[in-house]
Amino acid sequence: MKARSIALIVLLFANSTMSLFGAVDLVTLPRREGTQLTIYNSEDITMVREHRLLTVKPGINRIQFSWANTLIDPTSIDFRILDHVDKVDLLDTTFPSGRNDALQWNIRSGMAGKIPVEIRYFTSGITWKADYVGIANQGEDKMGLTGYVRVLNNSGELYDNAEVRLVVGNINLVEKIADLASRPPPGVPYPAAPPAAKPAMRRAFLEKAESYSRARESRMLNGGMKQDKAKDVRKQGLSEYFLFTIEGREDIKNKEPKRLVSMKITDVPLAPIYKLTDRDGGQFFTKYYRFKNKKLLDDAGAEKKLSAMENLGESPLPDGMVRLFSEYDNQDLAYVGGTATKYVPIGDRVEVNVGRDSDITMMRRLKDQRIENVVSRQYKRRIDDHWVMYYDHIDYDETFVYEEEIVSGKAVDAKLEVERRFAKDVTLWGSEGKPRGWDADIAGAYVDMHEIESRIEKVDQNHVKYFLDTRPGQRWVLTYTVTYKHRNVGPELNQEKRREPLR
Amino acid sequence: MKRIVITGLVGALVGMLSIPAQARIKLTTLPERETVRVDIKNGRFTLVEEERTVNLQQGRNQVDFSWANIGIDKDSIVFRVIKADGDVNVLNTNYPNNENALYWTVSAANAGPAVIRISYLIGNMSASASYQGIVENDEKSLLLQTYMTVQNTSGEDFGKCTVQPGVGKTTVRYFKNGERKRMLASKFTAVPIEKRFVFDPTVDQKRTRMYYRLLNDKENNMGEFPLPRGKVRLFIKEPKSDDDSVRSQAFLGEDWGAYTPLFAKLDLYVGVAQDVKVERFTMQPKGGPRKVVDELTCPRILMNGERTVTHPRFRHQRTRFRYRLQNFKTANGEPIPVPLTIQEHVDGEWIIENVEMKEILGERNDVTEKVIPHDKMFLAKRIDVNNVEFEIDLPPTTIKKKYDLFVTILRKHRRHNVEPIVYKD
Repeated sequence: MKARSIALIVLLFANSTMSLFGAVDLVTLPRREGTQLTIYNSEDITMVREHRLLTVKPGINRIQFSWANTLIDPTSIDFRILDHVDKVDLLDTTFPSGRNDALQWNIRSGMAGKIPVEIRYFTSGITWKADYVGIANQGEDKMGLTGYVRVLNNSGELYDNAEVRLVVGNINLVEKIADLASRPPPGVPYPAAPPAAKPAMRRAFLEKAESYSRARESRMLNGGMKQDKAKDVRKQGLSEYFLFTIEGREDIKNKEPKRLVSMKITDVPLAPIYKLTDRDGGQFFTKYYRFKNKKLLDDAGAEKKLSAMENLGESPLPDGMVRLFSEYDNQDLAYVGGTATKYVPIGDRVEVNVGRDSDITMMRRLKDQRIENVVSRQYKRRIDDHWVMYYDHIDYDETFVYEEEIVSGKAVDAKLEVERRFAKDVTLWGSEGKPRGWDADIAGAYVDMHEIESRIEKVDQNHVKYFLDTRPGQRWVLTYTVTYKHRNVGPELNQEKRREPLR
Repeated sequence: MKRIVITGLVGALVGMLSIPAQARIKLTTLPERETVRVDIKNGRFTLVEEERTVNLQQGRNQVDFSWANIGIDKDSIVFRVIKADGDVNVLNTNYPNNENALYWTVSAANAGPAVIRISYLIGNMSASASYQGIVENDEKSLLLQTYMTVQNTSGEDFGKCTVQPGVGKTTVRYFKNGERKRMLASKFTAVPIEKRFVFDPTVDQKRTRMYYRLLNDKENNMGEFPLPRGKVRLFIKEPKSDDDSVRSQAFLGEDWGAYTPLFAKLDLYVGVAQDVKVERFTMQPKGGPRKVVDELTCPRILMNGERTVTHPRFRHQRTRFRYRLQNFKTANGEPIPVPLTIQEHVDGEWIIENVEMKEILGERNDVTEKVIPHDKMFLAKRIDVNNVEFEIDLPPTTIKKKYDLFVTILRKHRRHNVEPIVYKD
């Protein structure tokens, strides 16, 4: 492991004239009293707070801080005096010429003694992510859900005995911390990698890739779970984000991912739902598991008294990978599927894509097709000083009759959602009766779904959705028509483009 | 190493203009700079003013000024006599060929020391602003600190000098070539902030963004100077816990703060508000497009000068948006309403024709929709001809209770994408 490369040196000046380094007196190298890491998952940024005790003398004190070979953003380094603020004052921060890995704080002190200070900076290379393992029972109405957080440190720095906090949420960053950390000092160009460096870079890349696959293998071998006793994770809202604070202190070692349980919940009420939509082809049903991020209820409908680690609805669920298993009665597991989920607010519903479901089938047949009400519409256009009559504007109605046969091969009741897309603005005759303007002579898609025994929802001007609750083995045959009224479509149906001058 | 050299050549000079540059006599005394002021207020040029004391002889004197490795604008050099015994006049300024140097011919009434001030513009010094905002835990106010980072790549080592970085305090510093210095320029305490949830489909079609809005005026504890452009990093104070000797802060986000004149607002995009969800759908307008035609009655002047009446028909474009609004925001475990702003971008002549708010209860086949009065929770603001904002006080929602906002915008007199104008004579 690379040696710690953050160094803090205090240089004291007894006189305040600050001549150059002639009067430098090295007094002490204070060590970190405490470290706190606040790790973000939406961006590659970690806020590090260090507390140190500085010994100062009256006059100007010069403190040097350097961070060679780390991924620290030099523009983020902040120095805060925590006590005796009326006697000790930070004058300025000076970056020496030609360096971007060191700085110097000039402090004026009116006292001698120890003062607590906080050094805060951003570094890149430390990230965290969430992942979940869900085990559904055979009836698919209850699920055990375990949430994990995994902290990865590729920053090159060891943070020992640190308080670790994880931020759930998407912050705005206008510049990448890794870029800021690797930026050369002003006036110095970016170092160009010589051609000889390329094989070395490739080797380094391969090594890195290998280390990832090794890490993945080791995770798979131990089932991805660490055998330690689960630490408590305190959850707290902060502006638009949530802060997960891991109990106690952790050593965050370089290139050693750490995985911790963030929640372990049993008997989460689960509802499978099957969706078919033209947005992804409209051929197959996709199965989703739905559960709510709300506090669990007991049989009487009252909120269960559970700890924050064992209950939903206490915090949002960070985005992450969900792996779902199904448990048979004999406790064998079957892998159902895995998918990435988005952030789920408190009170909202989680919908986890389980994958294509082939037990419920959809056959869509075009039963009939006809063109009616063809009208060739004259119009005139002025060319030079006389009018010319055209016959090109054509109106016609094109009707399609569809039949959709849906068969449920499920052993249990199933809830279905079918969404269809139509190529023109939809006028819908659905569950709410014949709409106004159904017979209008206006272009559009006139969708007649009133024979389907369901609520028909118009999602937007092109999409229509219907809902079915099926029993095991049930077969539905649904018929609907769509009439595309084409108006003034131009010469497609009248290739001759006949025209004659008006008399 | 000092690079700017000033020499006083003392003596009565006759026929000075004819003296070649090489023949100039170098210094007898090298007056030290007594004070130096570096002013970086102007974004492109840095003004340096220095004061020195030169011993002048009675009669004509030559004051020589030369420099190396520093980009001084020759034409900008101003020589002033601040204090002298008797009249001192600058007779002329001479520029030796191919040299970074000049000399002044100065006439002094009496012999003795004179304080002179030389001002000139140099390049390669810059100052940039950055801000740090410490937001109170309730997000009602913040402490805004302005930092100026001054960078000296001018080639000159300034000793003790007064630096005016553009805004805020002037400070005395030692400034070597190549150094950067970050200084606290100003501190605004208890600046009120307005927290805004903004959905703009042209920026992000899926997510709502959270902004802070600050006002740069005295009423809002700022308004001392126009805020220069710079990066604003925002931190929030966490609720104090027992094992915390110092109140922890978490990083909230950062944004570029635009140049903000006095009395102007500063909007900062902090991060995504994931608990406030907006989905936008384009719906077919009610009544269809046929009604969206205006038939005007207007005079028509014929070729022969006769006047008749004509009825041209203009096509308008009607757009109807549906916004599905959900708010899962909580504070201390309780659901709370949020102020949501939806931005739409239009053009030309337009009106908001219709607004409708619906409460959607239930799911799937058991959905009930109810039109609810919206005048207390909805406000449409015409920002300008291209921008309209809908402000909504969005109550908390659940999975089974949502809001649908329908807004119909009629864009008038569109010439594109319409049939030819039909005249009904």
